[in-house]
Amino acid sequence: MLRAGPFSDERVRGLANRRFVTFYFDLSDAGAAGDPDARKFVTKIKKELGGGAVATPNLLLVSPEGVLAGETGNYASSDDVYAAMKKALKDHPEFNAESEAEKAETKPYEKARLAFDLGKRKTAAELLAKPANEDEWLFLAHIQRWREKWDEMEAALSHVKRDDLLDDARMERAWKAWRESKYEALRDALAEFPEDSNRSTEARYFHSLARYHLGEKKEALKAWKALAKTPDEDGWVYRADWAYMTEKQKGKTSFSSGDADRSPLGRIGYMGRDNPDLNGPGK
Amino acid sequence: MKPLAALLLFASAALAGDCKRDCTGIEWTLPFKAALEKAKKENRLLLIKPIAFGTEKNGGW
Repeated sequence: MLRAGPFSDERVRGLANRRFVTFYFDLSDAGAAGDPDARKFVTKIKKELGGGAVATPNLLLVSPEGVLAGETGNYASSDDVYAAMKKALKDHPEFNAESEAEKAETKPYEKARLAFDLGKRKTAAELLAKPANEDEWLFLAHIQRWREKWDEMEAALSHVKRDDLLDDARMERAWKAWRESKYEALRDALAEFPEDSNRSTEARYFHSLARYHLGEKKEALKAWKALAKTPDEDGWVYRADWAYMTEKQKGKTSFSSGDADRSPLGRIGYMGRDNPDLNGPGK
Repeated sequence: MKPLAALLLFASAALAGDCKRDCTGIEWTLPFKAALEKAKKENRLLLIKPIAFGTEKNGGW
């Protein structure tokens, strides 16, 4: 669930990649992602994880010296994970300093990118007040979309006319329809989206989401299942798998690695939280 | 003994993050020794996800 939810959230991803060293491992050394060094390090901090049968472990924010700086539950929302990361950095500013490369950066676009990744969206928009090319106009539109400054987003997108950026502009506009729960507009905005686009999986996810909210659940589930089976996995593919299983596993309370009824991605299921998009935007 | 030793060495290598990586866009640093070294060098917190329900070579967890 963490991968389909918080880890696929652009805010979490941006902050994680800028300010944390990210690592995952299997508590069992025999697992595919087993790592005995990590197990020893973590079980010194969380002794309860050293037992034979453990509850689903939290996400841990830890100093290199082994001091716990924060944690959040495995089933936390994207907002909660993001908040825990921000709090850990606020409580431990010694781990939040700009790197030498960041200090040396002078280009407005790169400075805006850094501010955006750190969650300073207003600052990012201000740094990019005079975009130098269409890529920068698109990024400014992206920032304004996150700020839900729709007029400013549209103003920035009016400068984006290059063929290779039109899919991005289309996807940014579709987000407005999603955030405003305009599902017909969302469906129509993303119909027949080019499959070779860098935004294809995102568009397919939201197109199916629009159909789901318009009552076309069977078609939405079929499309999510197909998306989850695409070979090029990304966060939207994971989220499609989660949406599909939220519907399919309704009422299911126990999960086992021996379950034959797996998700399209081969997951045993999604414990803890349903995909919130099935309730609408921001709910 | 030699064939057994070779088999064990192979098994050991497979444990060091040999499964398909997560594809969310998070820039994971594996194995742990590399992550810890990087955190020390760059003065960053580690964000660690321990997994209790098993991991598979196809990237499932």
